[in-house]
Amino acid sequence: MLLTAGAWTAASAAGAAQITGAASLPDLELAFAARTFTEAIAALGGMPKLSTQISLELPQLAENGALVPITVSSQLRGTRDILILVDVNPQPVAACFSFPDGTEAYAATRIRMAHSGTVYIAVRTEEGLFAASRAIQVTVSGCS
Amino acid sequence: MPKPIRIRARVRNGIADVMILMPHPMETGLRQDESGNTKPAHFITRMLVTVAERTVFSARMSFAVSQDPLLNFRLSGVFAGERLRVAWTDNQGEARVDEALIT
Repeated sequence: MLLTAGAWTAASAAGAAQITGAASLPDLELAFAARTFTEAIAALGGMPKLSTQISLELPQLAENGALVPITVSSQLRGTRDILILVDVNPQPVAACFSFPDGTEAYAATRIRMAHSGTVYIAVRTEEGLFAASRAIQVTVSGCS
Repeated sequence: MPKPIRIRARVRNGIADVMILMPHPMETGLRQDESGNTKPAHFITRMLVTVAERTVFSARMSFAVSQDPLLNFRLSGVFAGERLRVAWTDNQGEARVDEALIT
């Protein structure tokens, strides 16, 4: 069930990159393709156990749904992947970050939210899937 | 040709703080232009970060990552003077690879 670290090759003539291996297991493909939150959770193997070892920083109120800053981190041992899901988005899985040994289980980025809803963080460790969530108010949709 | 990736990687107290900005429209495929035509989806799907050909971070993304994806993460076991390489590919087959010196 673990996602393996990616390997990449670059076609030097074109300077193009073809990235393979990174987070490409079938269940993750399904999760990314899911159109509803229920489908996405099912693709990940069902609702994960809530954990207090996951931290999630988000504004309580985001004026602009196109640009919602988010910082996630996990203190769970053996954290391999951190997924960001938004229950109200047309495709709920926003991103999956993979952390090889030596990289802190921490990432900050900016995401889109269609409207007010709940952001879920799913953390994949050697022992399974764990989650944390936070509701957030969005003033202007990030999807139109 | 996609715009260059902007990369900053600084080592402080043994930890490299990495900030990456990948200029990209990240079109959702849900928006319309002035004449009412839907703009096709165009977004980065995968990115990979390596140091000395070792993967140190990778990501899969959907169009729910904001325009011009910005990423911050932290590495240990890398050193000032090494090169950090970032590669991305998008759903239309475009790609970009850039490098920066870790300072």
